[in-house]
Amino acid sequence: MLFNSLHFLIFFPIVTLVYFIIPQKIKNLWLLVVSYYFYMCWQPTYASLILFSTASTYLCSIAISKAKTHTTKKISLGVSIGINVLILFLFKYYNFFTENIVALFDNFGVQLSMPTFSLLLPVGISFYTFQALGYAIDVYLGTIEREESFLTYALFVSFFPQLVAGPIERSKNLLPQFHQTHTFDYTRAKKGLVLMAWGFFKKMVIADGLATFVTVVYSAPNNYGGVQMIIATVMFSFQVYCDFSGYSDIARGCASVLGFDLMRNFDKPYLSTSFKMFWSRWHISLSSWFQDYIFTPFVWTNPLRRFGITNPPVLAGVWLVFLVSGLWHGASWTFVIWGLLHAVYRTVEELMHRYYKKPDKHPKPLKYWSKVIWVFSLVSFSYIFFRANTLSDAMYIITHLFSDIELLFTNGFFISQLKSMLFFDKNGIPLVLCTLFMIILEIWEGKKELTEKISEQKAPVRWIFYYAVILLILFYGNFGKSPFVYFDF
Amino acid sequence: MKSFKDFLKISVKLLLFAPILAFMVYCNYHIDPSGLFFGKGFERIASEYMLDGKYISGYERLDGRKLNEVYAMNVPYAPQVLINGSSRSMTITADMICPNKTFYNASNVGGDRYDFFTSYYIFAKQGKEPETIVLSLDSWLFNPSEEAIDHRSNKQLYYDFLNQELGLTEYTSVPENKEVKYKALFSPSYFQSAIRYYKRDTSQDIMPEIVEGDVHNSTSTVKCPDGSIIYDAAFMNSTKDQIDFALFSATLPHQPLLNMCDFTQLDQEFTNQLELFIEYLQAKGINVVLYLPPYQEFFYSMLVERKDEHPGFFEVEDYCHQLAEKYNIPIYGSYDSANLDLGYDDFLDAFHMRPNSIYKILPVIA
Repeated sequence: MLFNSLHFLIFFPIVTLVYFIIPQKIKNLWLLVVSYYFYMCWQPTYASLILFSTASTYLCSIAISKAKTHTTKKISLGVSIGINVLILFLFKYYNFFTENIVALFDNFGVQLSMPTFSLLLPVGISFYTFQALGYAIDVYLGTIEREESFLTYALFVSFFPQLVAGPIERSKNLLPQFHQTHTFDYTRAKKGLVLMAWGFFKKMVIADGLATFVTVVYSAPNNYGGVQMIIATVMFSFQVYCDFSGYSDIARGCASVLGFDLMRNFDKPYLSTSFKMFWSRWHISLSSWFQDYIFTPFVWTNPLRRFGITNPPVLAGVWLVFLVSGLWHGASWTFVIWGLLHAVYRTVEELMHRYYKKPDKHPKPLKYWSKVIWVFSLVSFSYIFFRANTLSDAMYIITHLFSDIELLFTNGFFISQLKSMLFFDKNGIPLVLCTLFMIILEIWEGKKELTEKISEQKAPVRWIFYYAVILLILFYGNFGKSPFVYFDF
Repeated sequence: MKSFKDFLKISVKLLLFAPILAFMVYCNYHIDPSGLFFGKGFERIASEYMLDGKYISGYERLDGRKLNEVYAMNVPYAPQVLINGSSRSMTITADMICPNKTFYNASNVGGDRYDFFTSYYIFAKQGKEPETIVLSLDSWLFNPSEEAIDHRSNKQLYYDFLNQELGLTEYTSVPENKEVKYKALFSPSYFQSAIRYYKRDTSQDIMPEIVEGDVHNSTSTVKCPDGSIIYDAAFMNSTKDQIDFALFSATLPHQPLLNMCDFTQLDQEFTNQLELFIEYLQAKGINVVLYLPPYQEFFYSMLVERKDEHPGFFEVEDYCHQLAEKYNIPIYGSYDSANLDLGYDDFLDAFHMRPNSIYKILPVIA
């Protein structure tokens, strides 16, 4: 079920209403049932995969907590990780792996035949397996107590607001909330609804609107010039941000209405002045997952010691995280390169900070905005790999990106480029204004969250905002079936 | 208790967004870009002009059947007298047959047996039943051949009428999907279409235009507010040569005469439907009048001369008179213009009478 569907518009109020009417002891059961229903609306059979991942992790967590020796504990964790990684591998990476093995051997003149599966990628597989993995590791590390109730644990894995595209919740944050009593609370509900409206605005107005132009160019890049490719790439930066952060806002909003707090997943990433900052603000739940479960253990256990490296291998950890991050996003070389490109950005930045100069904590406006634009430009550049349909498309775009840049100052050139992207036929100008509206609000909200900032305003300002957002969705939102970009990951 | 109060509070606040919903529903209903509520396109504009009492040109570019349907949806009253038929009846006006009644000429160019029923049904569906209906019986209605069907007529609507109104269940009806309308009222997508439709650039559209000045001297056919038409001045002032040429063209030796192809006998299916229709109308208290529009004398003579090609045709007029007698209803006109003392000057071509000549055969009926 998509958030941006009539189905969900009917589903969510019913779920909420029933949730607050029924007795506390069956509330979690109700949420579990509707969460599975939510997922099964997409592909019923794949709900068994979630159930399998849930059951295996649950059993392994029992084994971990009851293990008498460290080895047994380790083995139990290994089994849990193995099962989840195997699920991911089979459904997401197997074909990619076999294709590359076959191609590699082919280069050496060896004809290899390996079976391939034509399996549909289960929606949200990378999200819920990572959430389950995080839980198993937390139990192993003793960060949390094992969850006794299978029902509660199953709900933790499948809680519908964040099931298919995160935020990837930590057991420490979400699990205890399932044991709390939730009654309907006006402030929470209001905050949740505002967050949902803002998420719908970002998804349906900006992301879906920009997707039209981006798809036009990226579907056949050789039909377009460099300036159009640059415009489409910048548009994609905003598309992917609004799509994903929009989803996260809706997810957090839903959870808030129901009385739950999900972690913040985005914090104005395009206003970052460094790549380190960018990754602490972009897809925070995944970045911090990598930080906690890959980077930190890797650096502190230092497996490179046997190669004579005694200092904590921070940069190697960065490369490892970005390699995994690239693969996490998709079984394709374009994603791997996208991840490695960010590893390069982070490495260069880290070395510059280490050997040249630490960044100013409070740079002057000109310097601040120069850095923001610089980081945004390089992030956008990396998105060429993220968005391109194939590696050769990505290479074509990169090699032709500045092919007609000199014409940019020719009278009417820019307009003609926009025209050929159907910019003026497809609500291009209102879309740009809506994007500016979002950017201005993000700058205005400062360190607070938008919902908090809005709630501080006087009633007329609040209501103007509410009405503006809803009317903009009504006038310019895409009400067709439009899945979220991150559903594919 | 607090929880309940909070719930009430948020419900009241959500109600403050009701104006947005009302605005959307208002636009969806009144702008109605797909014509779900008021009909669509230029036909809707044309029907609005007609309802304002305006005469319009550019009628040929419109879908006449759709225009009648849209008119039936939007006319605020039930016309007291309704006429259905083909182009051969389209010049009949209220002045000719019912000067003091409300009237609508629902005839269609190329009107066939489907149109024969649906011209009435589009009004009946809106609850706008006439007091009197003039059934203009073109001879080809009785021709069982598919050649006598016009491609523009609405077969499904005809089936719906037979099934739902005449109870002929062998004709599969597709009932109107009212859910579509309700959904459209609350659909944001429909709202966006409505806004686009409202803001559309009409400069390139070929719109029906209001005829200013003398409507009888127009350069194109004029659609009157009562649904009848006034032919363009050039056609109305056709020379003898032009009329002769039209007659010659309509009676070419190796081509079947108008809709007479394979007309070997009366179509029993149609005659059954027609009788059921008359009974249905009479049961509703609607006065039925039959009208046989005449053919030009030369054309009729050719019909007679080539009678072996279409023997069914010669059964029609007798059948119609029997029908009138059976149901005790008046019948006017005759296919043979000689029976009506009509001459060469009473016709504009082989099939269409001069409007003034209609007075000779159709009295005031209501």
